[in-house]
Amino acid sequence: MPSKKLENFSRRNPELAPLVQKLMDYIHWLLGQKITKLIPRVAAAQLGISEADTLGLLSLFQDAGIVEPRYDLVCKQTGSVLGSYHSLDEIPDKIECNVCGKEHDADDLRVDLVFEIAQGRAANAAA
Amino acid sequence: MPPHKRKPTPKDDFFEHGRQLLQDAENSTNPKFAKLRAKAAKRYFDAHVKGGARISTGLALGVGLPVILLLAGICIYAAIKLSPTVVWFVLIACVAFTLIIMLMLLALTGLMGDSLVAKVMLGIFDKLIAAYSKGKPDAR
Repeated sequence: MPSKKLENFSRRNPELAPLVQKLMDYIHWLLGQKITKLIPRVAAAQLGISEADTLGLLSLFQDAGIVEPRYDLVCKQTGSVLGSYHSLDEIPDKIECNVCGKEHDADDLRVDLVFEIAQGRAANAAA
Repeated sequence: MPPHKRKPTPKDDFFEHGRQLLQDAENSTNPKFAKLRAKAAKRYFDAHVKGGARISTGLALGVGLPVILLLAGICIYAAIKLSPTVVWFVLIACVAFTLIIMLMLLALTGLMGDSLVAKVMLGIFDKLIAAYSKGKPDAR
C-alpha cells in the first residue's frame, strides 16, 4: 500500500486495516474493468459494511488523492446521468433532459454522490 | 395570505441522506468509524450539515461571547460608578442588546429559522408596547 496516508492510518488503526485494503483492492478491480466511477452503495455491499462506513473510508481515500467526489444529477425516469458536478452549489434546480426531452425539476431529479477514481494515483497505490 | 413555501430542489433528498449519515455517526459504536462518518457527512453533505448556516458555530461563539462579556462588564461598571436610575437604564439596554445578538447569532448559525427569529422579536416588541401602554395614564 504505497499511499503514505493510508499506510499511516492502517498502522494507527489495525482493526480497520483489512477494510482499507479491501476497498483498495476493489478500486483496483474497478480500474481493471475500465470503470472509473465508484458508487458508495455498491462498494459498501462489496465490503460488507454500511454505506455510512464506506463513505467514511472514502473520505480517507480522498485525502490520499485516490478518489474525487462528484455529484451526479440523475433523471429519475430513465436513470440517466444528466450532469456531473464538483460541488453541490453547482447543481441546477432545473435541467433540460436530453433523454426524455423534457425540462425536469426537483420531482424528476435526484442527486447521487459518486467517486471518480484518480487512475494514476489509484494504480500506484494498489501496486 | 398563505406563507411563502420554498420550492424543493433536487438536493433536498440528498441532504436527507446526509442527515441520516450524521445520525449514524452519532450512534456508531466504533469511535474511529464515528469520526470518519462525521467527517464524510460534513465533507459530502456540506450544505445539509450547515442547515442554512451562514457562519460557523465557532465563529458565532467567538463573536458573541466577547460581546456579551463586554455588555456584562458595562453593567457592572454602571452599577459601581453610576446612579441607580442610570444603572436600570443601562441594564435594560444591555439585556435587550444581548437578546438581539443571541437571536441573530442563532439565526446565522442555522440553529433557529429566520422566521422564528422574526416571530420572537415581534413578540418581544409587542410585549414591550403593551407594557408601555399599560404604564401610561389613560388619555381620556
